Amino acid sequence: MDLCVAPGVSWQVTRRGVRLFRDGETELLGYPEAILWDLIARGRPLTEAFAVFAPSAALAPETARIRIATILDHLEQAGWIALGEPAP
Amino acid sequence: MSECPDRYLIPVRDEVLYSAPLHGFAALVNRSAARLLRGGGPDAVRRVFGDTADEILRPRLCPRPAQGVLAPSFLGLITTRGCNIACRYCDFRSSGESHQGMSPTLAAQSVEWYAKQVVAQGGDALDIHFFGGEPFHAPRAVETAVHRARALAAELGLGVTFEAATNGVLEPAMREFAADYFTTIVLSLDGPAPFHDRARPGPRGQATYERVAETASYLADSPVHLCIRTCVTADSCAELPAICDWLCQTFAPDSLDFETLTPGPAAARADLLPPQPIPFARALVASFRIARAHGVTPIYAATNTATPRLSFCPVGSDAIIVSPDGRVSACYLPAVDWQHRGLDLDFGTVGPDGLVIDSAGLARVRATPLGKPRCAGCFCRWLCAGGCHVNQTFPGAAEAYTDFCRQTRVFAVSLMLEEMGLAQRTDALLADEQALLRLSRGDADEVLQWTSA
Repeated sequence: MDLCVAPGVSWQVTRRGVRLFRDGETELLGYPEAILWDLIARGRPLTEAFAVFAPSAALAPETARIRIATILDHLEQAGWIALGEPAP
Repeated sequence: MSECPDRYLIPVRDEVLYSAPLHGFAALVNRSAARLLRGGGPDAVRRVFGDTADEILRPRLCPRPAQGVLAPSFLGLITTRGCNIACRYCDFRSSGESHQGMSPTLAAQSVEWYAKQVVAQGGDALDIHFFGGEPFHAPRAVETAVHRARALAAELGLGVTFEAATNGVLEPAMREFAADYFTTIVLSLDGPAPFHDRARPGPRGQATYERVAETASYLADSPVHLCIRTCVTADSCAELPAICDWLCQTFAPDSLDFETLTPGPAAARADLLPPQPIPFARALVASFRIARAHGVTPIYAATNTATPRLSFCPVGSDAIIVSPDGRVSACYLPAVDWQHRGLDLDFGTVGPDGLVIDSAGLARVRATPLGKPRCAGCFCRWLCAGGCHVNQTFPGAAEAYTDFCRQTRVFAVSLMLEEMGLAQRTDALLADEQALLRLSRGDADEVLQWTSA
């Protein structure tokens, strides 16, 4: 089990980040949130996602860890991601 | 500064092609007009070309290398020299360079430095190219560079484009990533399975065609500009028009790039040879017609520009190409290849504090496209610009025309005739062995030396 895109959620890469959609609801994720979304949506394990997220967001490792936790909290509470098996 | 010699007379069967590439002008004239042009200077040009003469006579300077402050034409990232397939004509594997992937930190540092340069010079977009090996074989470096560049572009109000050259043997997640974020993908596909799998097998000799075709179809249905690059060998040359038609029908790419095999030790071991120049030029003309009829843009790199150029490639244009070990070069080929030719195309390093440019190295790289004795009297001088600085016009290269020159000269004249709406003249030329030999050898070309003044 890992965090993955919640059922019924779709997304689109836009010029400014990633836009999420579900049942008429939408949210634009800018940067660096869009980076983490992309990595989760492509089924990358969190440890691997971290290796890309920190330099992509230009954050020091400890700051990146805190930021990832904050973003994951938000995405989970908003129902955009959930624990489950990543789609094949 | 003196005017650049830019008036060529090239015999084409019973007629003569007058070409002034720096003026973007070409015309087919009869022999008496050619005689007039040969001896008459500006007055003769006025007599032959009438109202257009003023434009043709306007003095032009030769294209010059970049000067002054470094102004990168694009950022290239060699994310790895490693590759997941084993093309039989590829010498990269034996180049001695590490197959370790570029670190995400190095990818991000390179992008940050480049973005600063673009902003400092008033640019409005980032243009990032990925090379290999197989660039997507180092996914962390690719993803980091793309995300860092997009984040910076959003922050700085810049546009951003991404281009990669790939073998197409991609995991589904990487294929989707490419479709979501890349502007252009140059995908190597050498034709239907028998041609492709002979030249481009996997590391255990297994077929790769099915996976590459899957990627091509996927990308063709995405917003990505899909360019299929086909390496033409002696074996595939005669089939090139059929291959072109099949590629257009099967994948509907945006563009098709046909390049001849570059001979090397790997190709020799695999018994793969480049095509003969004249049969290749004929096949290329036929393929261009087919591609255009399908609405697909055909490309042959040596003639792929409407603008006169000094350099065939990024060398001399201030492109910044970063290797996995942090070297900054002007060329994406392995260093051993250009060192072997007496060239040094490195001009900086990326370290913890960013990119450090060696100004003497930059000056040396900028001067690399200059001084190509082989090209001095050739009408293709500003079209192919002598081809690859490493494989064609390296220091000390023979002055005699090579097969690359021969095929480019024949094709360039054919292309000019086609663009003038003289396809029947092209057909007649391509059927005339003697005329083709004369054209490919170039011994009857003339450069008109008079000046406009």
